[in-house]
Parts: sequence; C-alpha cells; structure tokens
Amino acid sequence: MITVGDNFPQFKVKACNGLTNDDLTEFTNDSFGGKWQVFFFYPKDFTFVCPTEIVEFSKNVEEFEDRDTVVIGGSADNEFCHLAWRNDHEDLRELKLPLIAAPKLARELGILDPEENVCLRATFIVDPHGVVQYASANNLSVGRNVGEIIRVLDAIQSDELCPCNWKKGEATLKV
Amino acid sequence: MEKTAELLSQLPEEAKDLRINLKRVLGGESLNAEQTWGTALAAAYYIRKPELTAALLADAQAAGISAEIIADARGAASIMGMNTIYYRFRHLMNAEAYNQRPANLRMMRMQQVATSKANFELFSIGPAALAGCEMCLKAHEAAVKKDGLSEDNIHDAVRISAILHGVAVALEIV
Repeated sequence: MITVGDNFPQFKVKACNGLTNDDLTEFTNDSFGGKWQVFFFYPKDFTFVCPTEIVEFSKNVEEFEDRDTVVIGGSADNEFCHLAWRNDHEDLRELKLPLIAAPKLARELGILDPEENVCLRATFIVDPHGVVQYASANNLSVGRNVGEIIRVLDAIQSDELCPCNWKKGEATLKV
Repeated sequence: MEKTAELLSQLPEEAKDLRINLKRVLGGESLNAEQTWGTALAAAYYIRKPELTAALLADAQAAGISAEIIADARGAASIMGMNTIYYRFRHLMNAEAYNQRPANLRMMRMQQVATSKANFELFSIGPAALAGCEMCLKAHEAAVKKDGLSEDNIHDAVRISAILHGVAVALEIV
C-alpha cells in the first residue's frame, strides 16, 4: 500500500459530482489547484455502512475547505453506478463532494481487498506537492471517524513556521 | 494622509511630538510606500485602537496601497497576536518540557503570503517589538535581514510601530 512519503499515483478518473449525466466529470492530479487533498475509499456503492461515512465527510466539507483541502470519495464502482446510487439514496442527494470511479487507482494504491476485489476503507492525506502525508486502511466493516482525519490534518499543517520557533540545540540566535 | 491627520489633530497638546513624528514617518524614510503603510497597518491592528486603524486604512487605500499589502498586514498582525504570546511563553519559561513539545498551532498564513515573505516578515517586526519579547524580536530581526532588508528598514519599521503605540496611548488621554 502507498504510504507516507510516497508520491500519490498519477491518475485520470471519471467522477460523479451531482445528480444528472451533466454532473459526470473527470479528475486528474492537476484538478485541485494547489490544495491539499483527502481521498477516502469505501468498498461498494449501495451498501449500508458506506453512506454514513460519506455523509459525515460531506457534512465537514467546510471544515476541510477552511484547511485548504478538497475531499474526494471513491470506490472501484464506475461513475454511472455512483450516479445511480446518489439518486437512489436520500442521504446522498445533497452530497458536497465528488465520488470517483477508481478501480485502476485503487490497485496502484494497493488498497484492493484480494478476496473481494473491492476498496478497503483507506484514507490518504496528500499535500499540495502530491506527496502522501497520511495513509490508513480499515477492515471492510470498520467505519472511519472524520473528526480524527481533521485532527491529523491539523497536526500535519501545524508546522512551526515562525522564526520564533527556536529550539535548544539549533544553531544561531544568541540571547 | 487626510484621515490620520484629522485624528492626530485630536491629540492633546502634550502629545504634539507624536503627531509630528507620525506624519513624518508615514511620509516615508528608508521604506517605500507599500512597506511603510503595511508596517503601520500591522502595528495598528496589533495595538487594537479601532479609530487609529480606520484612519490609517483609509489613508493607505487613498495612497493606492494594494489589497494584497493590506491582506499581509492583517495576516501578520493576527498571526503575531497568537505567536507573540505563545512563543514569549516558551522563551520566558525556557524549559525543555515546553520547548520540546510541538506548538500544534496552525500558522500557514506565514507561508501563504499575498505579496512576499520579505513584506510579511517586515510587517511582523512591529508586533514583535510591541510584544516586548527579546527572543521573538531577535528571531524576526534576523528573518527580515535574511529576506534582504537593511537595518535602516528594520529601524524605521520599529520607529513607526513605537510611534503608533504612543499615539494610541495619547488618544486615550482626555
């Protein structure tokens, strides 16, 4: 599985970003305009645990936007399947994030369950340079805590950038 | 600097020196107009005297200072509002227990500047001086110089900030 410090794989994927055929679109590595990205993958459309998690990510889209971060959901299902599911499931109609059709990307990320050939509940935080800064995968049946992903994102983004951040043992600055 | 002059005319007679000082430094010395107004705005935001901030902002805009300069002044004042407290705590305590802990504070705006790193650091020097922390000040002074500004530039930035502090005090004198 792709992990911290690796480049996120090059990809070009179909995606569903709404409720009509006109909302079918395409994303590549360059689609996110220098922002941070959170990719979360789930096993299958039309299953029970998945929408809860997806809706939770969607509810927190503003929290992610505040952190200069876009959120992208995805599975190995195709974009028409995503579209049908979004139309079929009441909770998914108002979704504020795109769902990508990512069988190839999932294989390259190393997150396909070998038995079922579906995505593990994997999550990646990718920095604006395309480098993975966080990677995790849950068992197919274990949901994620979106608050925890935000906590990790905050910690990663809390670099001590101030020149005041001098620590003992570092050169220069004599008082 | 019409609005600032108007405000300065309300200063009591005893604070006349400050009126003269502020008009002179805002006219520009070693700093160019953008550096001067950005420095003044960041210091004013940090000092938190709304009528002073409003007057300087109006005059900066009238002088054609860009929205990006103003944005960096706002960014520098806010981030320094946090960092001068936090890092002064660390510096004053000088204890391994705190020095080795990650601050765990977001300060991304220091990197995502609207104009330049040099401007952002310059605008931070006034708040560092106003906070009165030796290590903060030394760290920011070194950073400003590393970004290519001179000691004259730094000196003038601190003079502007010091005068504005004096003006804010004088405005409270009734």
